[in-house]
Amino acid sequence: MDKNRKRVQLLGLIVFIVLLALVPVMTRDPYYLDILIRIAFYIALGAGIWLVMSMGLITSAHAAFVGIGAYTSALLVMNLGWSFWVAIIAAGLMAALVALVIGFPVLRLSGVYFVIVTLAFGEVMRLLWIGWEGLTKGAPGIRGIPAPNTISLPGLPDIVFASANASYYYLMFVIALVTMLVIYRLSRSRIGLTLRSIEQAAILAQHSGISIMNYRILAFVVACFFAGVAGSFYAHYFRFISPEAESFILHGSLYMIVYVVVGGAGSIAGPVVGPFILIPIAEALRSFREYLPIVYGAILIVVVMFMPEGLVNLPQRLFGLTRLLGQRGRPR
Amino acid sequence: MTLQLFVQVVLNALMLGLTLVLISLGLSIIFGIMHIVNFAHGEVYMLGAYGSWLFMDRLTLPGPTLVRYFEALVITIILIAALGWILERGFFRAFRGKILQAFIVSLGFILIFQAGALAIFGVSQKSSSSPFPGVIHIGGAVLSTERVAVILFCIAFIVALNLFIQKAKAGQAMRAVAQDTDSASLQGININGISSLCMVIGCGLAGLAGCLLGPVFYVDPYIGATPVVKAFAAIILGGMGSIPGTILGGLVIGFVESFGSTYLGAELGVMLIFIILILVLLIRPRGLLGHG
Repeated sequence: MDKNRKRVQLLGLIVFIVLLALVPVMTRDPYYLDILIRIAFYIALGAGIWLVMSMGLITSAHAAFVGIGAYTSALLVMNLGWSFWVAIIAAGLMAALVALVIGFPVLRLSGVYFVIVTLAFGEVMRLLWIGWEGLTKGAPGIRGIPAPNTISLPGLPDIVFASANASYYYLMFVIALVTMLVIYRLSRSRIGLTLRSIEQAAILAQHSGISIMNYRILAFVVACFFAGVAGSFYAHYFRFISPEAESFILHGSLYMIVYVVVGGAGSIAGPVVGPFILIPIAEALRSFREYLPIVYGAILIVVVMFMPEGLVNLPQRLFGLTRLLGQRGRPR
Repeated sequence: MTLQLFVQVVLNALMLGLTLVLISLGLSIIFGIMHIVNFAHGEVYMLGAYGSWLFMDRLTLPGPTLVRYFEALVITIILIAALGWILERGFFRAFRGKILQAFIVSLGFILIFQAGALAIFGVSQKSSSSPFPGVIHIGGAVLSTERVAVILFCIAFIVALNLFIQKAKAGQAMRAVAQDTDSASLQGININGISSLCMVIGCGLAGLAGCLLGPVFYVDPYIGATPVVKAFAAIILGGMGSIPGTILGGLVIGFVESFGSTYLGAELGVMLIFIILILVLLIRPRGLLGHG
């Protein structure tokens, strides 16, 4: 019965991915492609936050790592003439490096203190981007960031990146897919299971001789690597970055946390469900966008209070789908 | 560096430090005693600042300016304290002991309060008028009357709070709960009541600080973002669970911010505070005067 359920889930997932891959075939409208690109962007970021949350920690600095990736990539391409395709990896590595450096001291801290320090770190980064004008051009930001280099493969038409076109869509789609895949595998591996057991029984885990710190650092570094990669995409998609970009500052980090929690922090599907629900809501409220945080805040509080496993569990809750899928017993 | 500049910087430091002490004491009571992680504490401060603008400038209350100032102060504190009560009773009580969930709930409130203030008051910065205009001269130094008034108010409230915690029964109950919730409960102390009281006092203090600073700085929906981090910095620097520690921490941060901003520039000044926070957490997590 568990096998059947898993088969259905896998089938559903494959259909879902195929449908998403076919979107640019069905529409070329940049409006819709842009929305889906943004959803994919937040899925990639949510996966990282989800991974950190599975350790029992909440990072309020994820947006800062997006910014680190964005600035690294933009500067490498514009100042050193690197190809975007190399810069995007370098951006991820830079974010990972910074995560490694601050991870060592900071991941020792528990819950609240970790949130506070990551918050402070995020603010320090923002002030750094404003203050280090020689490097980052300061508050006005960097304009005219080039699009990703055209890919020319023999025998195939060139893959060109322009406005919100299919190439950008597939790029972000692939980034999100790879991010989810890696983080999912990590969470199912021995490392991931250990991290979750740490969250539940830290003392026992410690006495088992498991190197908690190493696993925590690894998870944090991986999460931040993908944040950096997403940041690089951001820079070359929007082609303008600044220290006040919402995706680089605390506000962005808070939104990213909202997407994951509303989607459901207990399941890998949570970081996917969250943006798919909340970003269309943001679009629907476009003319009332000052009220959007109120809506998000209210949804967040309602979910945490009445549906803490997140909206990912909504079908099961409403329609008893668990029985439909042949699962015995109650869902945990 | 002239004497005049130095005096200004010190005055500023005292004012920033003491108002931060108010906010931090509020946070210390909420977080240190009841372990409620309310990150929206800064937004409570922001609402207090709007209170001062609303009741001093937007509406016309009876009486001359000085009387209106006190009216605004009292009304704002009562409203903010009531908000604190609602937050505790309706939301945070359900998450007692579940720190991360409480934090996420407070995240929701940050979003709601910020956008709510934006929707109601608009994005343009406001400033409220002060009943203490001008300057006073003391021994050759020129001091802004408003800043001196704020400093005096802060000292008065800090002393009053200390007296309350030391002498009043409710205050002693709070200290008992801070030491050991279970023993306190066994002695018949109503934990729920203390929880509400802590939130009411804590938010009241933050609202008071906002109201006092309304005439000094501008007011907009986002002024609450940094004070909460500085307040945590003050509590952690001074030492968790220690009131003298929080006062010391707040003053140190105030001085760092004032001197840092004046001599290193605004960004570096704030950065310095964050760096101090990070360093304290890493090197000496129990702070200057904290217990274990």
